[in-house]
Amino acid sequence: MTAVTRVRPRYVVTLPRSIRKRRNVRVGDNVVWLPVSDREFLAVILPSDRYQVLADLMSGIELSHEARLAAEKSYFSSAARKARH
Amino acid sequence: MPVVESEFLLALRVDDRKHKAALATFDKYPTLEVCTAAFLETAWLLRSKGKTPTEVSLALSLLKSELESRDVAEIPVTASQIGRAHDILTRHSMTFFDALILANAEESQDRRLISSDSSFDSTGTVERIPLK
Repeated sequence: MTAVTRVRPRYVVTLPRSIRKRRNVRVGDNVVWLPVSDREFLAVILPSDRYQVLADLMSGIELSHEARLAAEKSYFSSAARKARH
Repeated sequence: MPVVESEFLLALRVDDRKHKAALATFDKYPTLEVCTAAFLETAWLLRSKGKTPTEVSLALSLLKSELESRDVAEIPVTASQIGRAHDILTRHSMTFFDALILANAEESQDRRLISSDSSFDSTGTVERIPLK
């Protein structure tokens, strides 16, 4: 599914009808633009309830001292692996 | 203005047990700051639990957007704070991310940090306000 939309004054862009219908997009939903390359962005449409979306995206994360240590260990071991290659 | 850390970012999840406390904090403190290191730690908490880079990017983007809508300023980590964090690590038991957050809070205007983690008390350099 491809579609082209024009950038209007104040940089407003309308979501194509085909995408609105397919994703059941509602006014107030969030569109997150993630850079893929210099010319490309991935537009991710998420529901309007940000706190619920955050709960979904960050499910299963506990903030114990052990979890913090594990995250830090993961960070530095990943960096070390990259440096070796 | 008080500084918030990773605990606060995670508490923005609707099902987090401290979610109501986080929302109350927005009301209680009209101006808050967040250290970049809090985003860094949150990202690695997510990655260490198997979340994909895209999921991490989405979560951080939404967190940043929500904080901006609440006028919470992101305070970048400075070179001097990195040095101070290493100094903290030689004397106290905490993670590097937490040392960065603490070093950042030490340089904030009123040296107050909103956190339930008592390890931030070890230096005695900031006033810790529990998130509750």
